[in-house]
Amino acid sequence: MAALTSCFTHPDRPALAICVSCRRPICASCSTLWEGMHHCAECLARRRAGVVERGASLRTVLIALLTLALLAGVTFLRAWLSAVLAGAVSS
Amino acid sequence: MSLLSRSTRARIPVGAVLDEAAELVSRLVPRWAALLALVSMPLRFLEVHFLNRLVQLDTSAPQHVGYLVSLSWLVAAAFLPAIWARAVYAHACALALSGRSDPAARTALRIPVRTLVGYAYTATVAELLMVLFGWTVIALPLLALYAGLAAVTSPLQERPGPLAPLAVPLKALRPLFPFLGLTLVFCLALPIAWANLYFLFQLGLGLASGTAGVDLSWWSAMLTLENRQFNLLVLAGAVTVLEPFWLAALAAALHRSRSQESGEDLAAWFAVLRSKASAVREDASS
Repeated sequence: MAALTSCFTHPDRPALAICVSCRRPICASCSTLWEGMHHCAECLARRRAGVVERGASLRTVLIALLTLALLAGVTFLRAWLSAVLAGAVSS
Repeated sequence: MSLLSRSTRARIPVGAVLDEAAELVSRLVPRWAALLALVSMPLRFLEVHFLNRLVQLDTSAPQHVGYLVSLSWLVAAAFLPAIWARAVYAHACALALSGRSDPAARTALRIPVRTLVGYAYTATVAELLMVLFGWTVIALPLLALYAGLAAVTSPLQERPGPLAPLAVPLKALRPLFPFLGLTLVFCLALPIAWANLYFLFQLGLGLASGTAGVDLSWWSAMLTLENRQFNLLVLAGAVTVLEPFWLAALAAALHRSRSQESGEDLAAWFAVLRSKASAVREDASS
């Protein structure tokens, strides 16, 4: 079967698919199947970076919340432990 | 080469690190040291107030846990700005050590959120350890070392997570002995700084007593060794004065150990040799 068009990056190669993001025609070596869809290298890198960034942001938010919870725990522990130790030392 | 690596590169002299720290605080980052001292002061005063009230409550302290919790909340509220100031100061020190100049305000204040959160988490864990084991006194220097390293390694906090940020300060302890040496020096410096501050107050009182018509009886009663609150306040002042030097010394030691690991020290040494060689060549040709 003759190719309808040629690859955007490699004009000498026939296009196999169209990138789901930028809609450019891409050849077999340029195409990567990710989540069942064809992506060109540029769009794939952009999407992967976005996922990594989102993951890191979520982790950062979770660690910030954990820090606040830990600080609240430290607050109660400081008061409780000091009171217990002061009572024990005095008696 | 092995001789070089063993005798020259493996050593981080504590004296040289202290000199570098003094230069950092006095010449390269004085305004950041002032910011650190100013922002940390409420935390130190509230810690002193907490301790003083605890001692005053004495045997009745277990019956006033609610009151102590409210004081502890105030300490926690002052803790957050203090760790921000420490992160900014550590960032400024790292920038000054790499560039040998006072970093621009915008650059020093620009700390990535991820880095700040990673450091806040590590500092809070260090505070938890301080609350749990600080009363043993023996653990205090080691906990202060961990907390200080947490601050100076804060620019290296890249991966937020429950365990990775906690390991960053421990990984910096290579080689271990210069850091232990610095801890020992600062443990000895604390009572000296305390005594200096105490005598500074006494000197102020002595000078004021020479002024006619000023009643200093209240101040004389307050600024004595018998006043526990005054002693604690002077101790807090000594910690506030020493903290910028402590963090700068740790930052300088860390910078030296990291530059040895990366070979940056050798590159700098070769650059010096090259410039000397070219100077000799120019002299010979002229």
